[in-house]
Amino acid sequence: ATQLIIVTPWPEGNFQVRALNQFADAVKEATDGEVELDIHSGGALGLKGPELLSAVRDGLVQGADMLLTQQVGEEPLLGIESVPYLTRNINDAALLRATAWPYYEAVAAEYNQKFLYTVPWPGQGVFTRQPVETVEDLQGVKLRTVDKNGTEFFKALGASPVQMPWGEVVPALASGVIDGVTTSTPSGVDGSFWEFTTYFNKLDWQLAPDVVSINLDAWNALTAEQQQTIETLAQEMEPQFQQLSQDEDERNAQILADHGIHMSAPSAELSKQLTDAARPQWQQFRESAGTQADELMTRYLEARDAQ
Amino acid sequence: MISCLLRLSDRLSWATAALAALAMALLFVLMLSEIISRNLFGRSLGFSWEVSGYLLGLIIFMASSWALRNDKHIRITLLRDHIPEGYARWLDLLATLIGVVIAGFFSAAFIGFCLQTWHGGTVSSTPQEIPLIYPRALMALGLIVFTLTLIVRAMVLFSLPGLLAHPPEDATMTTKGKL
Amino acid sequence: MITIMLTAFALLLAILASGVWVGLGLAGVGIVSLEMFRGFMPVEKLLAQTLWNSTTTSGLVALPLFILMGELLFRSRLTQLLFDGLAPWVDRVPGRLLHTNVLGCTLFAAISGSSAATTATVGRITSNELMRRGYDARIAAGSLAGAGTLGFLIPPSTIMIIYGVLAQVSILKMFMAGIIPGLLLALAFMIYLGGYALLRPGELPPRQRGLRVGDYLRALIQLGPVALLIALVIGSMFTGMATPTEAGAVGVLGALIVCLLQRCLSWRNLWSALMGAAQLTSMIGIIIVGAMFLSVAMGFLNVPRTIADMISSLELSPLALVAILLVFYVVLGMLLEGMSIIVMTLPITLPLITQAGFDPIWFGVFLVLVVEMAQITPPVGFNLFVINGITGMKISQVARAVLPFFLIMVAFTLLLAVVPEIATWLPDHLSQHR
Ligand code: NA
Ligand code: NA
Repeated sequence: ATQLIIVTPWPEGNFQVRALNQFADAVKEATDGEVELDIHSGGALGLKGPELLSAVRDGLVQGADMLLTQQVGEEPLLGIESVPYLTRNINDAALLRATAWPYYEAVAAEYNQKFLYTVPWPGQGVFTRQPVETVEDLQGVKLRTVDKNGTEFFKALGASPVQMPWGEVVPALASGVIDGVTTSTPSGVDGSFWEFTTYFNKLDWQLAPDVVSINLDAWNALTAEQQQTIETLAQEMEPQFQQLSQDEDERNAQILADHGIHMSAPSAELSKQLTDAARPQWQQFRESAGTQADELMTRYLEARDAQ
Repeated sequence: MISCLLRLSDRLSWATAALAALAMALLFVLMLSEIISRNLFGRSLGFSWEVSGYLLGLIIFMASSWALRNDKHIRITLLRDHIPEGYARWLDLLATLIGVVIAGFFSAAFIGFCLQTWHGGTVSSTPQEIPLIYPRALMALGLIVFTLTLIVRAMVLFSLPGLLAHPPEDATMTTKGKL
Repeated sequence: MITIMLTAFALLLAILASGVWVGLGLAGVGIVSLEMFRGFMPVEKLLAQTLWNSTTTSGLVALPLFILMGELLFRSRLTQLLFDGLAPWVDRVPGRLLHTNVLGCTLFAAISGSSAATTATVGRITSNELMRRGYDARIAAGSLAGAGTLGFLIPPSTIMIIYGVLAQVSILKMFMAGIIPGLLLALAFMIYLGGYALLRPGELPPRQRGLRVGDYLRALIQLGPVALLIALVIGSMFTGMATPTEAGAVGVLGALIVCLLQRCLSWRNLWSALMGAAQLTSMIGIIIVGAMFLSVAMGFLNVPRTIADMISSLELSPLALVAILLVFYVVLGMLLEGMSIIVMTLPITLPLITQAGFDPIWFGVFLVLVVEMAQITPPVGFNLFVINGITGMKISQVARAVLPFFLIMVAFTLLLAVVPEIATWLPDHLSQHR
């Protein structure tokens, strides 16, 4: 049997890993045990961040479950879904995903790999001590952000973005070094954020998609039949996994609410203000992420506004 | 000849270690500035964490050869302590040569890594978008000097092992005498 | 699998015994094992990536800061003040100043999240002074190596943060769970030191005679600077001024102020502290690189997972399971780096242990304890290396000296298995009131 090492940064039990394990089981069964995906979770092989795209290209591992936002240092186009407030709802998100996929596939081929399927993380919101209902509520709030998009977006909104490693976040929240964190509901549950914050406004300002990718040399070593089987499985299971992400969001939102976190969504006015703050970054993305990215952005916005 | 080579190598090691010491100072200043900026002016510098990480990598590799010359790196001497003095030198030479091979592999691997970073134009996936070739090239430099120091060490052990009996003094390396 | 394990083990022994520098040797074993058993993969690329990832991680940034703090304080008169201040107070306590290491490490563990930083900083301050005052070098080194491990158990703790993320338990609860075991373990170390001193009175310097009230008061004043320094660092964390890592910079600032007030802050001292700190950081860093790469290599060869799978197939009773896991982790901990052991084995051992009815929080404390033991077991034990680096004592000597402390930790871990409440009581109790 062919054994393919697949690494994922996320811990066992996380929904991305659960999805990956399901996929591995399905592949094993459908190929009569001829192809085995050997999953290493929790970044156990020391590969877990911005190096995954090149690690798969160079064949360090045969595949990886990677966060696309972390790969923008190699390939800025992969950051399109994390451009702030580009999608207003689930339909937008699905449209952007579908429009972007062929572009992703081209990038993947350039990096000697094949993207099998993508699963977005639940939308990003803000955990804070004080309620965030208007832009004024964000003024001067020391908010932990992760990427360039988030840092500039919240700076534009008047907040005071702070960067720090995840390991520092919990002690920093507890002692008041920071006033809040922007992340998704599962991460809020992982960090038991109800111990330090009271409010979660699910701004949904950014999408953070994971992609499961496989090295092309490893892929080409499979038989045509095996390739066909795996491709079909990826296509069939992708909607289930994306549903899993939504379910996970709801489940975790419930857990947060049960622990006393007040959940909310942006008002129409706040939503408009968020869009205004985000627009300069759309333009910046067009200018800095290459001609393909510009074309993709145009294509998506046209399709969205035609809906 | 060989003592001249050792002096030259020592100067090189000291110079890279001096850079590491400056990186150490900068690391402290950077972290302190972040604390001050956040608490007094309410804004984070942003880049301090990322740059601190690179500085740490610099310190580790840039100071490694000087630490080697000062016998700061850890080795297990159980075997060497229990064999006659004459053999100990050859065992040390063997260990140094193995060290040369491994450090050489480190250097070659890291140079390849730098070339890839250079060709790909890789920048960090953080708001700073720092071109990673800068910190990586400096770390590669540290590794290369480390490998060279090991090679010189092997040559000295082979011809004039007495030269290694006394570690070089920090002060003798500074041109002004006292700092 | 047996072939891989035996080859790697034999290679490791041979290469370390020949006297190759430990960090290089560990990486070398990793390189050769991968080339032999997974020759088709680009080993050099994995090595370069691991070098980069393991040395530029922001999680390690506290280490150089605390080392620099130690180097500065080493050049001040703080050490002397600390010892002079403690001496009258512990004069009647069996073991007297031998307790400095345990007390110092316990206090420092509340500042620093890592055990290497704790050992290096406290050791730099105490070890020469202890020997100068006539205390036996072995027991001084042993108590330092043992107590240095408290850096992980007493919060803040880098390992607990990693565990909290991997096992999906509250990091705050993990921190709370470490406090009582940390203090109890420190107490156990001190009882041992006291007993040791009672049995071998000859190995300690003579007692001070005729202490008066004034001596005690003067001693208190002498302890002032240390107390202020610790208050400054802890205070900066609890008031929300600094994160745990940034507190390292506050510590350096405090050390600079101490040096300034004691008039020992010259450019020359500052430069030698920076050079010394850079070299010590490099020494520890190179070993971290080697240990990480060897661990990654063993992960690629599936070694830790295979063994954990074997244990899981045994279907043991809860206590037997804990005992076997203890042996498993102690053996792995002799060779591999503690943090990576946790990351590689947790996917298998955590479900096992929760099925056996143990609390994941409890298992976190258990793992912190076994990682601490890994720090002091030869041939690959970070605290042994650090102490070798600070004092020049041979690694084998340090390893022998720390053996009693290792045994205390084993006994304590077994006690923890029988009475899990030692770890779980505080987090359970405190969170009920929220
Ligand atoms: Na600690
Ligand atoms: Na060990």
